[in-house]
Amino acid sequence: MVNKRKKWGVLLVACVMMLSLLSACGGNNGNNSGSTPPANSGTGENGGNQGEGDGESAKPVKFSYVRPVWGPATYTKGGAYEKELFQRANAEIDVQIIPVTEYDQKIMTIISSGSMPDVLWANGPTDSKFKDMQEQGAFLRINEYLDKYPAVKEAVPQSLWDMLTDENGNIYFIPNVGNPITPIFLYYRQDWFEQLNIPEPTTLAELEAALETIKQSNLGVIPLTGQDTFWGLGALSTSFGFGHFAWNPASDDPNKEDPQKIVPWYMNEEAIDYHFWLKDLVKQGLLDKEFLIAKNWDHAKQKFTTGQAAVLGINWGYGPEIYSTLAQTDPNAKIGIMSPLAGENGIMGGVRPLGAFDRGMYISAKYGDPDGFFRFLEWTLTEGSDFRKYGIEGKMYTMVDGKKKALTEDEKENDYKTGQLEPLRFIAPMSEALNWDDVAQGYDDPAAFELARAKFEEYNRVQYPDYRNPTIFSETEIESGAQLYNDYLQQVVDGAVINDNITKQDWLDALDAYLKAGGQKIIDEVNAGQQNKKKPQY
Amino acid sequence: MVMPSGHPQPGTGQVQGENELELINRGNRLDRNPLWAQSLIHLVLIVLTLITLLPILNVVAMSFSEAHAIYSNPLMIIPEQFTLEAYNYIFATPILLRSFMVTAFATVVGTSFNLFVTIMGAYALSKTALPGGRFLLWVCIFPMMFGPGLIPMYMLFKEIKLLDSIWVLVVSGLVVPFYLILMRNFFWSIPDELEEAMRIDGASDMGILWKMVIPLSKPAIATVGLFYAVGHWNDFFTGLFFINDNTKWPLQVLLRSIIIDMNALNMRGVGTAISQDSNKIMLTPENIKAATIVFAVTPIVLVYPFLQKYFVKGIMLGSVKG
Amino acid sequence: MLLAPTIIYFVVFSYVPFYGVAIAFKKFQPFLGIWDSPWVGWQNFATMFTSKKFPELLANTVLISMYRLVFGFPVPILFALLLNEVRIMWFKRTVQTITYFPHFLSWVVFGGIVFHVIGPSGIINLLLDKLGMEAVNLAANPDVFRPLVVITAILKEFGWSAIIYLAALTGIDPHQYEAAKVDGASRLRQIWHVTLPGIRPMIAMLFILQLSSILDAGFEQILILSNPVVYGVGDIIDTYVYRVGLLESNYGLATAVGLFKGVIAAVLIITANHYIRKTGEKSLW
Repeated sequence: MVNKRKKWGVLLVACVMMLSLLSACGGNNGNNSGSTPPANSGTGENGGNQGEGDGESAKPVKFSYVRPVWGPATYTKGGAYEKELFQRANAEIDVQIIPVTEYDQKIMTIISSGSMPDVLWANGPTDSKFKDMQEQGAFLRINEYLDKYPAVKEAVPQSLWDMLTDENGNIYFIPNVGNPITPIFLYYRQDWFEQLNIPEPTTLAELEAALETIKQSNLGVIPLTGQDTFWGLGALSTSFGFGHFAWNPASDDPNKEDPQKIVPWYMNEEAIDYHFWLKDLVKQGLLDKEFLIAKNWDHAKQKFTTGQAAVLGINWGYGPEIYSTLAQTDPNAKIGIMSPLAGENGIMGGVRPLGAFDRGMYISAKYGDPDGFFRFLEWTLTEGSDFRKYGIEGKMYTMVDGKKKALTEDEKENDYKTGQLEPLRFIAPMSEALNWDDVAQGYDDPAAFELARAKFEEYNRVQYPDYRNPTIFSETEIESGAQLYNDYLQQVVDGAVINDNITKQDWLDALDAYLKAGGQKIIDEVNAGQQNKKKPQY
Repeated sequence: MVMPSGHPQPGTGQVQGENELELINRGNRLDRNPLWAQSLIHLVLIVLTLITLLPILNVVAMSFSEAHAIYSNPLMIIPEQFTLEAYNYIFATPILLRSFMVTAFATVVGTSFNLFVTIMGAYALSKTALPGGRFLLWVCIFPMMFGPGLIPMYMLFKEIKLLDSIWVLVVSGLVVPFYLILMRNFFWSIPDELEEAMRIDGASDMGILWKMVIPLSKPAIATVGLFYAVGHWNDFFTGLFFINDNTKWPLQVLLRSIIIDMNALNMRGVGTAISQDSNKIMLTPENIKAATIVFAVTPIVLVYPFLQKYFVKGIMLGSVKG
Repeated sequence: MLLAPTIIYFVVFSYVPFYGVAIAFKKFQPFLGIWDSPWVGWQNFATMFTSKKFPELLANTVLISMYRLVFGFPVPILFALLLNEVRIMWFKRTVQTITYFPHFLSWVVFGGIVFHVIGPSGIINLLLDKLGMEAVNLAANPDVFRPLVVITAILKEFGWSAIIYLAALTGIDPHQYEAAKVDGASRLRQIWHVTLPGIRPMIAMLFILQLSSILDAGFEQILILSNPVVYGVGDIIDTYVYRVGLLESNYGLATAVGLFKGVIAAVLIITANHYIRKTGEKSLW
């Protein structure tokens, strides 16, 4: 009868599954250390392509490549751009993309399952997990390859290579370098300032006065707004003389260039003053009530560009968008950018440089053709450099006045849109990190661009970097750093500006408790581990 | 179809005709509530509906408006500066159709498998005579509380070669313990007499299931089927995590990558992006976000109205013999 | 046996991977994999329990869950009952279809909408302003936070949760209503004596299951709605683990907490089931 057969069929399927399961179990146990060869989907032989040390090998280099994407996950293999790239570079790359929001989790899982890709993006040795992996022999040591392929070596500043070198002199990680200087500007409505006869502020006190005047006026707008204390009002934090979310010289250390001791920012008087000054502003109604509370991160930008706020603190990169959006709302608006403000005791505002790289690449220790890969990388930085930057004429850029001008996203065919390009990106040299021509292209108004550039230089005069070498770890911090911060400090520090009940004494008390619970150990370990405490230069 | 004692009340002695059932379903009873009660009920329902309706209108309105109009008026319920540009943008996304097909596959095929296995399992569990029944039930409930970790799951799929296949979407979450129990409880209310009757006629387990149990359990099946289907449709994580080939990712993953969670944005990348790559990436306008939401949600929201016809009373009672 | 596929499924996909639980007892090193990562015993659990915040987290989690249970559990039931009384079919259908929509919105979206209503420049404050009254701080207010969480969660889910009850209502024997009417019962009494008992097993079962997830308390929602001012009353176990554990890729901690929650859930289910059985209801098993 049909039904009986169905039953048996089900049982049979069940048995088959069980069998495969049992065999899988046998294979799974105890086999998760790197002894399983990297399971690459369709890359062909990894070991079979030993490129000769000198000269070109006729066979293309093949490798699997896993990287995060920030843009749309629309990549399809075999696209026109990809074909062109493979042909020119003599390479075959098997790309796998992961949206950046899930990247860390998924790459950890992929590694844990024993199938390390040939080339992968990762956080690098600033993440203790990866530092451990370096020591466990997961990745290829690249020192000799750097010497062999100078373009790759020069793409990254030597100071950065030094930082990435571990205690034994080994380097494993190729950082994705980027421009570390991102000043936070204070944009303001020049037309309103003029209307109310407010001179452009040059000190914090003048700013406060200006905000007060705006509040008293009948404009009915929010005097000052920003997204948060770092990416929004970061310019003001520098005016207090400390690097936000960084390690700085201790407040009482006289030598700021080469201090004896560095401490996390929340220990510094200056940081505490900053937060309570902001709190004061909120209380007086000078700072947006929604500061730190609003749910969408760009609420401040929206307020300014729709004429609801007078002063906006924001990352300078948003300049072009601010100009164009505000022009749509109010064509008569004039935008000014304040120069760095002076705080008390003549402390000048400036810029808080960030790390010079964001993630980077590792090569699996098991990969069979590292020469080939480096050759490829070298190519992208030398002969292939133009192709890397601009792509294919007519499809990705056009010649305008003898200069290459990139096409915008809408102008390009599907095959050449970001979704198809981003997965095939590797690194760009630091020298290209800040290209003023490209920045200029973003601004419709050349005068606005000039203004932005001028202010950029001004902000860049005084730097408040992170003194901490991120590759040096403190045991205590790895184990319980996050928890200690969470348990003792987070509520006070994060809430200081917006919570009426928190006072300066609360912050100090919290610090005390934190230090006693283990915070002091962390600070000591870091200071002991990091001998060179000189102020980093960018 | 749950009765307090697990057995139907002794029949009132008559086989109900189709017509009377229809009457009941249409609600033509003689005992209406007093007018004031009816009005109150309707009023409360209207209020509740409005509260839930407004967010819908808001999102839909935003999807049809110009981006900067949204900044000034974030709580709009009628589109301002009507435009279709947000939808055009979405529909122009490459591989959109492909990911839509993946999700459709997962939802249709997946739900079928879900129901197939769940119904069989629930029916078996509902037979109190089942040997080792208690134990087996526990086997099924235990996973509800203790989920396996991500990494073992990943490795498991890898071993059984499902890692890069869309079948992962069908197999993962094949049986949800909660729905299994739900279905089983529904089955409890089917009178044993009916089953015995069929057995006497020589029907097998599958036969009974197919010919009697399922037709009688339409509301249960509709409900559980809906839950499974919605689960498949909305699933974002399984596809992303267990499928490596991004062209096989379900719709939700693709859509989300279009929006990009702003908080995870590499914000300083705005400065570097301008220099490395003249495209201004990631500044997704509000209207595109809204349109994405509408597009992601609408197809599945429209399923329930079609299922409502299965939520009908008393079908089962028609077959109770006195 | 019909049960075979179900059992196989669970064995393969829930029990086999169960060894992942070992991560809870190890200091997990991705490259070494699960087996070779160093064993640290109960340390991950200790991290959780000895945290200064743990009592607060536990309190918040349990309290919020209880509020949800007490206030949120009856709402879909009442809603289903109300809907059941409606005779105008198109109205009934429309209400049903609209009210279950918010379930599909993610908390990111719904939270944004909530904020637009209660925020410092939200609708409520705008109205108060127009009426000449003081603005109220609803968004960053510890006293308001828990009720806010519960209320918004109810609004978002009641339509969807009611579906199960509506399905259950269809299973009530119309003859019982007839019998009650014959006995002269008013509509209200009918509901009390026929409808409610008719869905009582469903209610009991759903109650048990919701009780078992008492340590969950709505992670995504709270993550979206909270801000530093309300951490004291709003931070739950899951959000804490998220910040301290997952953001640092500390899988050991996350797994340990998951294990802990599972154990508590199991205990609760068994206990609740036991008591329900005592009251004569058909219990979970």
